[in-house]
Amino acid sequence: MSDVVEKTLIALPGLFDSQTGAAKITNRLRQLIKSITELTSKHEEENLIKQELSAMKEQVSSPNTTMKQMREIMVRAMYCEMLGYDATFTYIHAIKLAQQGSVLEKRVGYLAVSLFLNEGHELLLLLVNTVLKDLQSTNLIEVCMALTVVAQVFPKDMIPAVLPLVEDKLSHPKEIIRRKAVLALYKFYLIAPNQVQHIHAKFRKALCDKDPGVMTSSLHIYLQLIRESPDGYKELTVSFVTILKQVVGGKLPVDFNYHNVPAPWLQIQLLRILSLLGKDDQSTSALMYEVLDESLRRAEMNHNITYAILYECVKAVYTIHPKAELLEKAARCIGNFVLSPKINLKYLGLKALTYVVQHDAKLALQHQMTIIECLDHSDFTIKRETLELLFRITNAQNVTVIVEKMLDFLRSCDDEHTIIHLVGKVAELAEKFAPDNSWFIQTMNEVFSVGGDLLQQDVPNNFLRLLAEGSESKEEDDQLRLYAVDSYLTVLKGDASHLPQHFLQVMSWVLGEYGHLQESVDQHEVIRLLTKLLDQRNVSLETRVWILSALTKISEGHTDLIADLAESLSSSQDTVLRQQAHELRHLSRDSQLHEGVLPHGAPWEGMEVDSSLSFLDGFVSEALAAGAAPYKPPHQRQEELCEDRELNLEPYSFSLPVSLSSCSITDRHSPTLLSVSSGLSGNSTELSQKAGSSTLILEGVKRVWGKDGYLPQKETTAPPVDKPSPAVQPSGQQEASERIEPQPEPSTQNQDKQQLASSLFVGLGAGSSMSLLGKSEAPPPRFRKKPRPLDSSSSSSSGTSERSSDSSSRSSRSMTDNFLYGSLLEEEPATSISAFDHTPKSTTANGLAENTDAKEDRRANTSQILGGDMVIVRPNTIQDKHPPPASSDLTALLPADLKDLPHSDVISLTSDPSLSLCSCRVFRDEALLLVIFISNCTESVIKDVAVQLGCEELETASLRGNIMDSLEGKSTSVCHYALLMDDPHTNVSFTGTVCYQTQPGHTSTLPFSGTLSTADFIRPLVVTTEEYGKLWLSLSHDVKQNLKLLTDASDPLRTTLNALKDALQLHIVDIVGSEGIVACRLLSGAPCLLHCRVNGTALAMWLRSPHPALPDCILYHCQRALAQH
Amino acid sequence: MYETVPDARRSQSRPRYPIAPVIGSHLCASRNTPTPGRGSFRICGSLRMMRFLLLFSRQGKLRLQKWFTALSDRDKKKIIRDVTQMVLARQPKSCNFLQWRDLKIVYRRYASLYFCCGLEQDDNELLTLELLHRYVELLDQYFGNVCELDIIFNFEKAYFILDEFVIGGEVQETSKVSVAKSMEEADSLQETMEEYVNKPTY
Repeated sequence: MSDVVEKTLIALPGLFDSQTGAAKITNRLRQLIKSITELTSKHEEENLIKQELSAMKEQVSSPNTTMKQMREIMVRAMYCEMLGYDATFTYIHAIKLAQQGSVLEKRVGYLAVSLFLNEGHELLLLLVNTVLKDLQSTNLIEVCMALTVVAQVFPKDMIPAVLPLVEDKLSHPKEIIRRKAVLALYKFYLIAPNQVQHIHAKFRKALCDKDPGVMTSSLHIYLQLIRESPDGYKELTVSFVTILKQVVGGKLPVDFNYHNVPAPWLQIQLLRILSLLGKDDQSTSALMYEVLDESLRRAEMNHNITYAILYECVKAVYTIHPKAELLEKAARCIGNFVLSPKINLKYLGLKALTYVVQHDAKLALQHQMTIIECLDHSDFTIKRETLELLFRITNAQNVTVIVEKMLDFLRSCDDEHTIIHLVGKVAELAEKFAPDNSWFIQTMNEVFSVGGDLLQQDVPNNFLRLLAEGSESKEEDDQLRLYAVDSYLTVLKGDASHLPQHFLQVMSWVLGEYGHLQESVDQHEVIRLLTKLLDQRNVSLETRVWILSALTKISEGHTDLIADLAESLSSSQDTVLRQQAHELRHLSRDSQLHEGVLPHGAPWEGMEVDSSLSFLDGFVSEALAAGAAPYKPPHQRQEELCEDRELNLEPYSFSLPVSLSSCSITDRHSPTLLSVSSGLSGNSTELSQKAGSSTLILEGVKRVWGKDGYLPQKETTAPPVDKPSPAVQPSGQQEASERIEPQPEPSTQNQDKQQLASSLFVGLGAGSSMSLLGKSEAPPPRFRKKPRPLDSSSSSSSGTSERSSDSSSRSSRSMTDNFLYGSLLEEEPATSISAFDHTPKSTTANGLAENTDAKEDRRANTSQILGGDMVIVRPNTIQDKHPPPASSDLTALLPADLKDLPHSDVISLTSDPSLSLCSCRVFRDEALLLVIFISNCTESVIKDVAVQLGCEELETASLRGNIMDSLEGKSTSVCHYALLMDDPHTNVSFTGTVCYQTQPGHTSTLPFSGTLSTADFIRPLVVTTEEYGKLWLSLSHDVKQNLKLLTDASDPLRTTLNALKDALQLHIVDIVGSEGIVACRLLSGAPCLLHCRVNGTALAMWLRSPHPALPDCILYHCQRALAQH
Repeated sequence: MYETVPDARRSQSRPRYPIAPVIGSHLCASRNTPTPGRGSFRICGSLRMMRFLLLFSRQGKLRLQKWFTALSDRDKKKIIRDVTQMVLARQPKSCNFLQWRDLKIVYRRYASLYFCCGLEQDDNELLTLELLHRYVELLDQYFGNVCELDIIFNFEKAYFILDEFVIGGEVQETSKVSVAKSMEEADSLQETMEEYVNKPTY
């Protein structure tokens, strides 16, 4: 009965006249909403919606349902979906409604489609025809609706179908249609940029549209285009500046105003575009100084929206080529933000500061007291932002205080993502700037316990790697390790039940590896502590494996303690544990074997991983002979599985025993690998290849380069060589600890803050001048990366020179270090701010000294390499392609001191009956030497020969022999120009003339010209990976591009890089996996760093340099070199 | 005042949109099309736009949801749950910005309703805050003294207004008048007679 009633109820609206239908529609939804709000429990709501949905389901499938009813159903379906219930069955009807309904119903249909269907939903394909039809409709509203939906969701593959129609709409008389068409194209550009390549000219038309709304929409596209390749749009700068000027000048219609501010969204869009265009480009930046100044000045009203514009302005000012006057104004603006009582502005101010301190660390000093206040702010968001800022200004002097603050914050924080994020940063800072061993280990202990099991795996991995790889000085390494061992023993003696698994793993590994270093502690004690851990219930299986392998390492000579344990675990449920227990039992019985497999304190470098597993050949052939199936790699098995689609219940032939034993024998150090192999993948070759790819076995440390380039702190290893003298160091440390001690007295609170400030902002004032070794104020990192084990391919001579340079720069650093600590000691900690005025100065002085030192080092090094056994192949430039006729013998005429230097072929410049000119490029370390040979072709003497060479782009450092009184018949004279290139240009041409007199009083002139390329002015920059990393972070101008990868060779990356090295004089710093880093410098000194990563079949190249134009030039030559290959 | 200076200028016989001819003349003079950068390197995921907009009541009931990027239903639910919880837990006078995973959350409370936006990290939070305000202004203009109930019962209208204001996470029309006009047009469905005659029949 009730069914019947319900059905009639449902059918009712359709029976009514359409006029009352509209009222019914809203009523139905109203009813639903009302009844839901009246409900008290979630359960009731669920029931009600379920009923509603089933009623709707019935209704939509009924053929009698009118479009009008359908529209009402759609609205209800949207409501149900919003409440979180699934109304999938209505999706198809939404499309139908959009297709068949009248305009009003269509509108709802389109809305439902845009709400229900994600991009990429298969039902969207059904929408294409509807959209096509509506785009051609003469009803403007239908066109609008179609464009709106296209700009929100549209299947990527169907873009070509609608593209011509949307394009047509760009010239529609109605501005709203044009505007929506532009936005639809923007959407297309985002999801399929290639499809709209051809209509760039139309974007330009939209930008020129007479309606500001259409013009504004086109800026979305331009912002995107310019972000990807700013160079292509430089000529538009003037237009954007003009638009912004007019907007700022209030020339837009009033209805674009927002709270009396003219078109703020438009302004901000333009500011973003301008900052992208002006980045690293002095001439373009010059065009916008005026309007930026105007914007800064105009935006004086005290309203959020003006501050939003100001913020964007400040960012722009700091992004484009700097202008002192503007920077000053922007800095003042930031001051207003930071000092504002409004919390939102304060937040934005901190954010701006965080951005700006990367360019100018001194700004943080101005606002130190505010920053300190923000650090104790009650608002979580503000605190977090402040820590972000502090992270940016951390250096060796303030690291202890900043890390302490971060840890404080972490302890009170319960948001997982924040913890993971910040803990990573603390670890990064600790490794980078740790003042001493004890601080480092204690901080890392904190990191491990605070980070808990949320910690990303690479934090413990990096830490262990640092401990394990060590530095050159074994003594220092052991000290750090010893400290770690001591610290962990203390921790374990306490209550270890609450410690996170990662921490336990780290501890057990360290104790297993270095426990023997601590002679004062009985090994029994270590074993006892570890065994106790094994018994704890909360210890995970993986951790047990770590502990057990640690026990295996130290079990030698303590058989009695181990025997029981091994016995009990040999019957463990877990295969890996069981296997390890067996190994342990076996090894503890045979000390000789133990010594062979797990030697004490074996150097890491010496460890060879037999990645081919050749020692198993016998085993394999025996097994094969016995009838075992041959091993197939997983992908092959997968293919075969796909081939015969039948279900195969037979187990596949795993080579499990093989893989396990291979791992346990070769892999002495890492239990993680073991647990991986326990995954029963059976893929032993793959595993061991992984291990073999680097001589280190610790897994999971693959990301050598992060987003910001090479992350030295992640890689850094081993305790310091550059340790400050023990007399100085502890006092500095003591001082630091004094500073952060909380002062209970409220009266001294302010003073307290100042003290905090002085410890936080110490060392920030130094000039940011850049040197080859990174910023001069860059602190000496505590843990320095040891040069990686050299690849067999690189020559040993380069290795030694790298090392020697390393140590020499270190010695200069340790001096700096002492000095810094010394100067710190002289200052009373409490004298607060006055300390700033002194410390920075001394840093600068020292930094400079260090610079020159380092530079000399570099120079010595470079020449050593150039003059040594490393053959440098000359860059092949334009001239080399046309070898000159028979002039090669001229090289013999080169002055003796130049003969040994690398040089190009001799090419003919010009000649006339009496003289002929040839040139040769000699690549000296400090300049390019252009040697010009002037040959007298006649038998008679030529008098007063004068060579003049000019080139605007080049600087002539010196010249020799350009004027000769006389040149004998059939003889040749040499003159040379030392040339420098200040601003990189891809190619520069030089012109010159030779004046001479064949007969007295009769002067002849012979003009000549030639071309030089940037490649001639590039020299390898020999840096270590660590220096590279630091330098990378300090460089501001970067360019990214995909280049061709030479894929024909077995090692594409290495081949490509070597090809580049041969063509341009680059220095390959390091190659790890699919990434490589390369460095070079321009003769005048500007370095350029290249970071290359294999990206499919392309080489993703990322260049950075302090010089704006240099990356482009080098990129150009790289492209050429690879194209010629 | 800021406004008066341009106003004075505006009163002098000024073409309606002086902005267009100026840049137009400049642009059309240089005919060359932009050289599409040397390479095809695309920086992915750095699109500067809103990710989502949520409206929810003080009790945490969702009133409106608009997603500008494709997400799975599970992710959407997770975001809604987390964000409403975080926002509702905020103290009255704290800052209007929050961090959620790698997104910035900008929220603002109007009477009993929270307006809440998810942004990319490097976007301008303050601008988004004002964007929310402009949206409220638009709603207010349309409904006249808008209250939560208006949005509850006419949520599709609120969606329509939003679609006229923001498309695909980017501000489409900042002129209050234009948004109102296009809403009005669509609502009344006025068509010219000519258009009506030419209208294809289904």
